[in-house]
Amino acid sequence: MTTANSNPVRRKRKRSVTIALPTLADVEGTEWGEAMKALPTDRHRAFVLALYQVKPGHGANVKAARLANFGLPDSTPETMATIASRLAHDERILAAVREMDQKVIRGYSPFAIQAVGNAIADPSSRDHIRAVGMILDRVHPVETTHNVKVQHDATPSLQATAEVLQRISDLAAKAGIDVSKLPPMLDVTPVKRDAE
Amino acid sequence: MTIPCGYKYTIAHISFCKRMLMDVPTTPRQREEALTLAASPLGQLIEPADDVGFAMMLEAMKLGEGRALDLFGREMFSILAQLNPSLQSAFDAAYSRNVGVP
Repeated sequence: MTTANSNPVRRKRKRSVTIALPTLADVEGTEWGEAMKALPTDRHRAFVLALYQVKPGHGANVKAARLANFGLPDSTPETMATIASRLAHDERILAAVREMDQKVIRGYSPFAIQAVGNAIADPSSRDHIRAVGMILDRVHPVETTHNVKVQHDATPSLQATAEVLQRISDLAAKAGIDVSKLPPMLDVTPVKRDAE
Repeated sequence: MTIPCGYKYTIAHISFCKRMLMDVPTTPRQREEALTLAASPLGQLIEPADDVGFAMMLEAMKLGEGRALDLFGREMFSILAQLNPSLQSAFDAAYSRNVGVP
């Protein structure tokens, strides 16, 4: 009996290439933000950092993914594009990118302040006065004063209403009706304030 | 439970109109309106205002009809209802939806 497997054709299996996962060196005294900490691996963190290093434009996500060691050396561009797209739209990655955005902007503030300082130090600079104004606005903010005058006048209509109500009360008293014993019409208790 | 004052001023106004029909000369239009109110299901439950109540209402009318109706429905209704108990019974009937409001 001959079986089909008696002379099997051995298919050459491609050996998988082991790629060392990138490890981001710890810098003493620094730590990741919450969103970066929440990423599963250092490769993901490397991808986020690479997004800020690659040239913006078409293929930037793929370049960042390659820099972060995603994919295999012989991965096709289509495969890498898929990997990069999934990474770039992952909620955890997006949260980390948002966190990094704020950090990068805050990190540039010393340079911005230095540039303003240079503009102030150079009176011939085109932006000298603007820089001086920026600093003064922050040191001595523009003060605004609001004068609010609250005045309460008893308008003639209110006075007339009070007089009419008084006459009505008098008529009711003559008819033997005690107005004070009637149920109140308004659910508030007036409080007399002492004159200040 | 908040009682809508709209019913109250309507009821007090009907008693005022019925009293006006009795002894105060009115314009034909006012008379027609008063007769319509008096002939309504709610109006049939309401007695005309008495002398004291009518005097109070005339005082209130000095402030203008809009303000007077406010007073009818708020500050004055309790007093008027003491003088004319039919106001309270009409109010109870209207509020329990037994009688339609004109």
